[in-house]
Amino acid sequence: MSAMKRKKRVFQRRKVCRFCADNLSIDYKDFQTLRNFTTERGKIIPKRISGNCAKHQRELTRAIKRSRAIALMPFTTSTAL
Amino acid sequence: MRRYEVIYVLRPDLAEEEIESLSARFGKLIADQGGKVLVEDRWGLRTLAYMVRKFRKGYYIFLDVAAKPSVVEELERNFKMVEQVIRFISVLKDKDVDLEALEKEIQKPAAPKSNEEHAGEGEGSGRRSSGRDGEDEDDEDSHSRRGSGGRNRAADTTREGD
Repeated sequence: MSAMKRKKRVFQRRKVCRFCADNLSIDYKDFQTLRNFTTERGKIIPKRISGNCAKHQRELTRAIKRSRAIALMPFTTSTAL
Repeated sequence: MRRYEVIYVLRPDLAEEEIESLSARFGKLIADQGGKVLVEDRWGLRTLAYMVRKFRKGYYIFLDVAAKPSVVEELERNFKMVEQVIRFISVLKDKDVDLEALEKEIQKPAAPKSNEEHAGEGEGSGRRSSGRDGEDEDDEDSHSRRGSGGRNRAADTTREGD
């Protein structure tokens, strides 16, 4: 019973958008930060999982797509280099 | 005047002089039409995230430009024509800037590289990394969940198509 409770809390813990909370800026050039919001395969992590707010998720998506356009970030990892 | 960030990527097998002359050419093009290059930052040879025209690396040049929209249009037209440019992007940063105010600003240190920017945020990055641990758990979770969904994969392929 108590174990289940704890597990639930792990899921609910980070509900706050990290960009709102830490006042971070989103920049398409800063691919190292952006990479935290993609899977290893290069997909953008949905906000229901990352916990971002809608506004920042939009900005993030735009930044990641820009970053992909100039080959700073991958579209997918299946294109072997 | 508008403020733009322009990044273009040159093929990796160019000689130093060729890079120099191309950079000068684009710089002149902007200057000739009343634009101004505020910052030219050469990121240098970097590994690309994916192959572009069969190249694995590219020479990145970053420009911070104050110019009219027509100038950037012309610049992009030239990027398309010049074979040595394998990728480019221009991003509008500010719709209405004052050149004089900007010139004063340039006296201050130039825009940092993405890497330095990252390291520079001492306090912030510390907090961020502590948050990142938590996210990693979520990451794996999301992975297994989405890996099983065939529908998502289909959506992905269409996105790659464009």
